Amino acid sequence: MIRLDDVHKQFGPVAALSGLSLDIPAGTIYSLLGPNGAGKTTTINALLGFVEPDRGRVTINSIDVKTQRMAARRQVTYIPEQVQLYPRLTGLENLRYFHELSGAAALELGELRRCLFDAGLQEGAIDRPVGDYSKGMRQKVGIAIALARRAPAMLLDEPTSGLDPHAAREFGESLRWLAGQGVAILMATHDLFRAREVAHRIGILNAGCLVEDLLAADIDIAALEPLYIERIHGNPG
Amino acid sequence: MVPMTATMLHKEMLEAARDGRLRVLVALLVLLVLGVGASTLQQARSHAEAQAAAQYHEQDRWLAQGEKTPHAAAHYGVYAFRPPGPLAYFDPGLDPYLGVTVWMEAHWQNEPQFPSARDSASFSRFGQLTPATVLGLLLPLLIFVFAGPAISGERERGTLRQLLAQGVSGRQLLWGKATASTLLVLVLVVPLLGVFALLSLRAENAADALLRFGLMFLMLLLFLGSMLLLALTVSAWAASSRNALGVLLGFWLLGALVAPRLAVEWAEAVAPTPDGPTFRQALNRDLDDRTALDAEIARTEAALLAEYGLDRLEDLPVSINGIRLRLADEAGYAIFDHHFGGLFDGYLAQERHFQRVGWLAPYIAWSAVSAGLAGTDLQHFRHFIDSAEAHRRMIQDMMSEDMIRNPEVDGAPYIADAALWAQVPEFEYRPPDFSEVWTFYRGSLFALLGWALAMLVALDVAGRRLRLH
Repeated sequence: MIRLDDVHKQFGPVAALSGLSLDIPAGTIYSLLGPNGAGKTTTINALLGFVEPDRGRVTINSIDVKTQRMAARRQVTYIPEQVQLYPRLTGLENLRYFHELSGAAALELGELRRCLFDAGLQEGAIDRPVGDYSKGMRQKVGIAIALARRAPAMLLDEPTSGLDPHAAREFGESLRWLAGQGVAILMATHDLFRAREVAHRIGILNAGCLVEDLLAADIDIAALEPLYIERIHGNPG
Repeated sequence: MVPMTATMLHKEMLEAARDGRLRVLVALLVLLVLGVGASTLQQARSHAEAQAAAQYHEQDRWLAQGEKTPHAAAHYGVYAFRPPGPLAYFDPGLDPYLGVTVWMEAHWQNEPQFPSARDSASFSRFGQLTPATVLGLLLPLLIFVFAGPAISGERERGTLRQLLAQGVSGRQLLWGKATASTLLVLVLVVPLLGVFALLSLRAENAADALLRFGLMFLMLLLFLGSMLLLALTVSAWAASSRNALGVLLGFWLLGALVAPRLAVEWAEAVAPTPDGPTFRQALNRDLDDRTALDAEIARTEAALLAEYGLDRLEDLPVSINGIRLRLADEAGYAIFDHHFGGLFDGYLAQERHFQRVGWLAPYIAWSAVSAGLAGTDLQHFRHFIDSAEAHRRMIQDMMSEDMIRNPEVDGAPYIADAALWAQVPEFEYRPPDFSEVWTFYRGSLFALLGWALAMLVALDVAGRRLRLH
C-alpha cells in the first residue's frame, strides 16, 4: 500500500535518504524511529510529493507519487506533529472544511460528528472553537479527518509528541482501530514506547538508511532501547 | 461533492463573522457605503430640483428682461446649465472645480479655470468621500489588508501543508480563495451600485446611462478583481504575511498616491500648455488686432452701398451697426476657436499621456474610466463648453440679425421686446453618448483589461508553483 523503492534524496552535501525501501501493506502500522535529521520527515514529504526523490520510486496504493501527485495525495491522510486548524472554527466546522476540500464523498453533518466522537473528542467539545482545544484534542480532529476520508493510507509525523500519556494512549488506540479497518499507517516518531505499543512493525532510520526492520512482536520495550542506541550510535563496546 | 468555492466561501464567511477586527471594519465600510449611498440619493434629488428651479428662473429672467436693443440683450447674458448624469454622483471627477454652469455673454467666450484643479484632482479625492473614493481607493486597501495574508497566513499557520496533503492543488486553493473573496467583495459593492442602477434607469437618456453604468460595473469588477488577484498572487509568493502586506501597501501607496502626481507632472512636461496670463495675453493680442476686421468692414460697407446704389451708410435699409457687430463677432469666433481649441487640445493631449501611465498603475486607468463614464472629466467638460459656446453664438447671431433687419430711424436705435427673446430657444444640454467618445478612454479600458488578464495568469502561475516554503 505504502511503498518506497530505493529512494535517494540529497540536500546539498547532505544525503537525506540513501536507498530507502519500505513496503507497508494494508492494515499495518509501521513505526519509523530515528534521531533528528535521520530522514523521517523527508520520507513523509516524499510520500506526500512535497519532496521529489533524486532516484527511486514512491507509490501509494500503486499510484506513482511523482507522476500522479494529486491522485496519490487523495489516497492519504496526513497528521503532522501539531494538527493545524482554523482557531475560529469549531472542531466540526474544521472537519467539514478539510473533508469537503479533500474531494472525498460528501458526509452528512451527523456522520462527521460521529467521526469526531469516534476519534475520541468529547461531545461538548465538538461545537467549540478549536482555539480553545488542547494539542491532544486537535490531534483527535486530525484522526477524525482520517476517519471521514476513509483513505487507505495514513502518514503521521511525531503525532504523540507533547501529548500526555492518557491522550497518547487514546491516540494509539485510535490508530489500532484504523489499522483494523485496513488502513496502512506510517508513523514517524521518537517515542520508542509508543512505537512498540502501537506498531506492527518497527524500522530504525539513520542518516537516510534503514538500519533495522523488525516485527514489534519480536522485541520488548526493554530490548528496543539498547537496539536503537546501538543502531544509531554504534556498539559502545 | 460540495463545490470547492462554496466550501471556501462558507469557511471564509464563518471566520470573517467571528473575527472581531474584521466585523468592525466591515461594519464601518457598510455604514460608509450606506451613508454615501443615502447622501448620494439625497444629493441627486436636491441637485436636480435646484438646477431645474435655477434653469426655470434663468429662462424667466431672460424673458422678463424688458425692452431694449438686441445688442443690449446679447450683453444681458444667460447661464447655461449642465445637468449631471446619474454617475456624476458616483464620481464627481472635475465637476467640483469646473462647475456645471457657464455664463454666456456677448462678444466673449469665458475662459475655463481648471489647470490647477486638474493638478490637485488625484489628491483632493481623499477629501471628498464619494462612492468612487470608497470603492476605488479604500476598498483596494481593505482587499490588500485582508487578502494579503490569505495564503502566506495559511503557510505560517501550517494549514497550507495540511490542505495540500489533503489533495487540494495550489491552483484549486488560489482559485477557490479568489472566487470566494470576489463574492465577498460583491456583497459590499452591489448595494452601493444598486443606487446608481436606479438613478441610471430614471435618467433622461436611459439607454446611454445604462450602458455607462454597465461598463462602470464591469470596469470596477476588473479593477477590484485585479487588486484581489494581485493580493493573492503576492501572498502565494511571499515568504511571510508581513512581506506580503509590505509589498501590497507599497503598491497601493505608489499606485494610488505617488503615480497620479508623477503622471500629471510627466504629462504636463511632454505636452505643455500655456499658463493663464500667457493664454490671455495671446488671446487679447489677436482680439485687439483689428486690421483684418476693419478691412472686412470697409469692404462690406462699400459692397452694400454699391448694391443699393447709395452714398451714405445711414440711408441703407439695413442696420450698418448690426452688420459691423456681426462681422466683429464672426472674426471673434475664429480667434476663440483657435485659442480655446488649442488650449483644450493641449489639455486633452496631457490627459492621454496621463492615461498611458494606467498600464503601470491601474488606479490611474480606473480613475480615468470612472470619470469618463460619469461624464465628469475634461472630455465631457469640453463637450459642454463647446455646446454652450454654440448656443452663445446662436443668441449673438439672432440678436445681430434682428438688429440688421431693423435699422435705426433718425438716429434712434431699434428696440426689441419679449417677442424676440421668446424666439431664443432655451439651452438644453445633451451630453454625448458614450459610444461617441469611448475611443478617448480606449487606452485605459484596455489597461484595466490587460491588468485583469495579467493577474489571472499570475495567479494561475502562482497556483501551479505554490510551495510550502
